[in-house]
Amino acid sequence: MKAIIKKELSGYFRSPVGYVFCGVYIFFSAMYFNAVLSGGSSSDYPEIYYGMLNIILILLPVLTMRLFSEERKNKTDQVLLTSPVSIFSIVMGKFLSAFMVYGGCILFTLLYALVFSYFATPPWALIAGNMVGAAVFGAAFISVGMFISSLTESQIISAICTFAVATIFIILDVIPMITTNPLIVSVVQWVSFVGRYTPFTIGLLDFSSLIFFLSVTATFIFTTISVLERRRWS
Amino acid sequence: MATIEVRGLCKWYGSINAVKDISFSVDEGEIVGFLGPNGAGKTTTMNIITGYISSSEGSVTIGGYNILEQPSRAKAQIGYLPENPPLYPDMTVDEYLSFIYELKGCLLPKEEHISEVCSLAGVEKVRRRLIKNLSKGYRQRVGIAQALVCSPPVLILDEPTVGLDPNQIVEIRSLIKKLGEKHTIILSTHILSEVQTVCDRVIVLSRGQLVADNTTKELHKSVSDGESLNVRIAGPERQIYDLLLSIDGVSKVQRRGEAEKGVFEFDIVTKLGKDVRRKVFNLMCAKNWAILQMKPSQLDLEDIFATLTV
Repeated sequence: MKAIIKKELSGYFRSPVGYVFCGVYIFFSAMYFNAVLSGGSSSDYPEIYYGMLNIILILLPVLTMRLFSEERKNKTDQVLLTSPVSIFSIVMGKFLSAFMVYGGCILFTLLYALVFSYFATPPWALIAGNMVGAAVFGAAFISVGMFISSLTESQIISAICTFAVATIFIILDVIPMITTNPLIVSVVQWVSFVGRYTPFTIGLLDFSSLIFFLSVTATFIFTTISVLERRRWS
Repeated sequence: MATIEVRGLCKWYGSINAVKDISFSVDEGEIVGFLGPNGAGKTTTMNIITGYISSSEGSVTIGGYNILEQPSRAKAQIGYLPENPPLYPDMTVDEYLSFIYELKGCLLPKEEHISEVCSLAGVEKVRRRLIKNLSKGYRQRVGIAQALVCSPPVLILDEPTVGLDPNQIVEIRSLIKKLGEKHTIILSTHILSEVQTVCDRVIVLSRGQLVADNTTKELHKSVSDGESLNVRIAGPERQIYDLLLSIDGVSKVQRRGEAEKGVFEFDIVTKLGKDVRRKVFNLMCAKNWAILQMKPSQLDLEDIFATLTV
């Protein structure tokens, strides 16, 4: 698994993908931070993370599109699948490498807290809650993107489909505003990624949301393993 | 115990039976040629042996480990070069081989081992170059180098010389021959001369079935039902032909046309165990038709291949 993580991480930064992802993330998070600074209230601080949610949904497909599609297209999956490494290790290695790039960007936002501490006391509990929320939210979405990448040889199709799923997640939160059907509203609220993230923005470590995101992550990791396993048997 | 043991291998793609009940074994140090026309099931069989895909039925054992029951141990015994070398174009040769070294969990001293592999595959000069900038020949060599990393006892090479120029083909073949001293090798190809040059044994596949498994010498014997004699005789073609055909023990005479001015070439196929050379000599002397050449001829591998895979 270590070899795969190392290879994937260097792969991100051997191509423009890693730089584009980190650059865009830092650019937008800095914009939100600037807005928080202009507002002058520490209670606005979570806006950085909350505002970044939609950006992440658009940005993460760039990170996940190549995970398996590129390997299949270049037939380099042969070297992975014929090596003495389990499919679980291959999938986890790829997942963790994408998560590390994303996690690095989240950690970068700690710099903003340090800058903020120059003017006022940063709301550490809120920051910690938001960082944990952003991490599990991203992990879940990376696993979805990785699963989609395992289904196709085309990176473009993989990115578009992941982006489409992201759009559905965003649209889902609009549904409760246009319907009063309690069943639909409760189902949407239950599966809404953004809705599930909201408790973290107020510094709450909501266990049901935490478990939801971790369950989604685990489900899609194991579905990806099943896809690769099934392809061998088909 | 055989290094590679394949028993009753079948592979179905939906309703298409790509591999039909194939069984064979390869002993330590053997170089076995996998021969067959396109679509014969060579690559599918190799993919099953290496664990890239699973068989529908049957079993594969590498060095005593079943590829489905103990995949990690079985795969650790194999170095595989697929038809298209699985290379990462944005890596340098060194980075790529280091990745393979780590992927295989190799315990040999890293620097020395990678240098040794590079020297064996002849890629020392391009170690620091990006793979995407390498020629087809060098990419093929890097593919072979990755198969050699961790010094696996079994090498499976799927068409290793495809797309190479004649000089590179000769180099790769001599490399494979050299590797055969330390490794058990299965080599897939449809270049027949390659099999003749490199392999100790040939396994011929046709339409997913194993149609022959023998040394090239034995294959010649099994396919031809008699001996063959090639002669060049100066004289009237038609009369020579009739006279040759009339000899007791001759089952077939094939005209090869005029080899030189007034000299005609024939292939005489005799019944098994019949030596007609003296009779041919005496008859031609009696007619005063000079024999300019007489040599035993064998069916070449192309003929055998055509006979087996029709």
